[in-house]
Amino acid sequence: MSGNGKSDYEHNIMSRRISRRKALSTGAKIGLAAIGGVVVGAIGGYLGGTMAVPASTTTVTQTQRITETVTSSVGAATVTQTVTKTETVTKTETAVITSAYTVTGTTPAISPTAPLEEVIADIVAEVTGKRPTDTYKPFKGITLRGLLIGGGAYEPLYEIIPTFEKVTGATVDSTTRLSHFELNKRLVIEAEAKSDKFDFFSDHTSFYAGWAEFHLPLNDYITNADRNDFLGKVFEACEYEGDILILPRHSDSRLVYYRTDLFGNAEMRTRFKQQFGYELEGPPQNWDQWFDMAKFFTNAPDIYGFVFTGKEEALTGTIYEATVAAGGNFFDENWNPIMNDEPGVMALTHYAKLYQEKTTPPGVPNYLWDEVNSLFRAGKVAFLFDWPGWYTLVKESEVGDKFDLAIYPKGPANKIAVWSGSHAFGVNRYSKNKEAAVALIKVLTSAPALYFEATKTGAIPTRRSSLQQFIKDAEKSPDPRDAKRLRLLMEVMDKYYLPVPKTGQWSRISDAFWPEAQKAILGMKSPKEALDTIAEKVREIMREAGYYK
Amino acid sequence: MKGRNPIERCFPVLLFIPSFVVILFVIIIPLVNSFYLSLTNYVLLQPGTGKFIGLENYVKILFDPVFHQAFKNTLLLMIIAVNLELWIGLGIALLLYKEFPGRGVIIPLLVTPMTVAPIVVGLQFKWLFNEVYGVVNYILTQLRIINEPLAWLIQPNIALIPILIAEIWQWTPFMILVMTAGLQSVPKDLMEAAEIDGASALQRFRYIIFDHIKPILWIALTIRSIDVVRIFDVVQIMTGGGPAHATEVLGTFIYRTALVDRQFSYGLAGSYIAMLISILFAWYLFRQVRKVVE
Repeated sequence: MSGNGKSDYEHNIMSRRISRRKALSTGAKIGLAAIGGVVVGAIGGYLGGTMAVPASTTTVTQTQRITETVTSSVGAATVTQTVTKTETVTKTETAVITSAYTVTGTTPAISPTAPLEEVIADIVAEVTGKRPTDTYKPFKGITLRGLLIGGGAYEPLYEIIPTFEKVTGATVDSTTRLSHFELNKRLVIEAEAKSDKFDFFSDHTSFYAGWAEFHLPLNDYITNADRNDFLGKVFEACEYEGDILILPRHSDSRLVYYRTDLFGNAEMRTRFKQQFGYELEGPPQNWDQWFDMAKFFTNAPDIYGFVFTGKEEALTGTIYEATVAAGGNFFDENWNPIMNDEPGVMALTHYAKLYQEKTTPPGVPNYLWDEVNSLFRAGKVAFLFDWPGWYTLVKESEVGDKFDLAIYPKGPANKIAVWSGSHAFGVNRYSKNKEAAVALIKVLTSAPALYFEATKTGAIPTRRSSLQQFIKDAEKSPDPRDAKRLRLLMEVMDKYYLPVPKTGQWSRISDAFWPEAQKAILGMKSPKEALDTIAEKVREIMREAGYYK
Repeated sequence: MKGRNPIERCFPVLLFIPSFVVILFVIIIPLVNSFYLSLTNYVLLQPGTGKFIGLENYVKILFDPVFHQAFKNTLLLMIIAVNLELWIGLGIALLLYKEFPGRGVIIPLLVTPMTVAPIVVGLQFKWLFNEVYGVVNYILTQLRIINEPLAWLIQPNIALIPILIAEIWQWTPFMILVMTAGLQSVPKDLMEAAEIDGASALQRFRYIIFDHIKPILWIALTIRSIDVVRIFDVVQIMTGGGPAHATEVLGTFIYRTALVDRQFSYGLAGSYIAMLISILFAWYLFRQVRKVVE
């Protein structure tokens, strides 16, 4: 916080606005925005084009009339002058995203460093058709009530709300902040009552399908700029039966954490080649390598090649992503369980083999996230798949200077699938203030807001532009892994992000799944037998939930 | 009562009202409401559920193999843990029966485990029995009792043992405490007379001590049996009911079904069955107490 009580972010925004005022007049801003809009539009589809994210260099020639009103102050005197000029702008833009997810430094479709007040005004203009000004406050007299997720990691974003109130005239009651479980419980109650008590709410890609009817479809409010800016697969996860029901905020996707001192050890490499007939070039690229490497690095009980979470949803999600990577899924398009098809069997067999061949610690069926990560931090595991949130702890551990990150190995179907989830916001279908609520959640998921949240909490933004800016900041760090981690996550969220099946039954499915999967891992049942039992139980769950009318 | 004015007559009822209101809102209404919910198909976090289905949940649960496993494990824990706690506790209490230097320090030290939160006990024993770093495996391998570390909490056939040991470690002190108090009620002169008359130690225990502590013994058994029926924390922390339901007890079954699996009404049916079992045990054991006292 700066000395005047404003957050550093607000302070920075104010500084930027003042310095910009010094450099440009208001008119010039409008003119430049027009050019910027056209140029960027040609690149990112900002002005309504349906162009996908460009993959190569694009040349745009644009003629634009610019009218500038320059206001400058020298001491107490104010000088105002109007300049009218016509100029031809020829600009060559490099694509925002190139391959390998590097940050090019070009202007992203939506600027995460744009002044927040202007972004809010733009969003309100988009939603209502009329831009707020100092005198026109479109939502004056409206009180928006939010049902929000609370807790240290989630609340800094809400610091943006007072600026929204200032620009739009709305009053936002964001005092109802609950834990995730309580929030979900409350959402069900509100949905069942078709209540209009809350206008907007926090939500999650893993759960929102359970109260899909409670959401206002947001399709009409999503611009192409939004579509292009939200990371591809994350945005897909927000779509339910053709409607966009939620706007994503920040995401969680796993990466491979691996020990560089082991994978880069010359002697190990030589021995690995002798044993397996191919080079140990880094973390595994496919499932065969994954097993070979897990086996190779195991020297129990001192070190194990691999470790995974062996119970509860942590096991279900792990087998789910492996099933998809093997070319299958948990359900077909009619919600018939197909986890017991060949890909599912391959996935469970792979994990059972990893356990039964003793490449993992024997305690795996009792491990959750804490246990697996603490084993890695203690140097007892060569590699594992883990969440981005552990990164700082791992850096501070005894393996802090000898680990690196990578994307998952490809599955038998030549696919990568990473079980992921995103926190999000939705609007109540029964709200009496829909437009204001939509505007607010668009502001809360705008590029500057998500960038702000990332800088405050380290959360991984779901917008390309915000994440790129966050990566740029991380590139200043002396540790190259800081930026690499974010680049890898960006690629995962764009291409490999796998949300749970879009049904409100996920928890029940998971609970039916993991005890049987454990039996297969422990060798009490064959993977096929276990999956057949699971499929039977899941069919019953779906039948009870009314999926087979 | 005759001649008392209405206010005086109502006074006892007025005194009763506050506690009745508290009991009504804290016990009676939630009980009635939860019993009603157990007769519905209510699924937590799922709109459109909560329809009355009669006894369907109760019938379903009686054929649920996971519930059978949970019931079996709870019963096993109750029989083994409570009995071992009782006899170990009684043995230690007898050792402490006679005055000796330091007795006043030993008793408070012995009851320390009881003061530890069950979650901490669970975590502590989880580490003690850890398959890789656990001290139990270390000692057993050093003593060459086992050749390689055992995955205590993972192998379905032995996973209940560490839970049993944790439970006995924590609650034997309760028995020590209760039995020590019971032994104080044994008349010293009777013991001395028996000793002078030539009664052996076993005879003195059987005919004097045991007879005197019987009521308190039954009460201790009742309290611990009810406690074990609702065991949850230690099991949840140590194994979560796994692997593959091998250590499932009624507490973890109800928790997982009602709150994780969100089959709230089904979980409630399970908890009513657990409650019924507790009541039956309490009734049986209290009957024994009454018999002994009479």
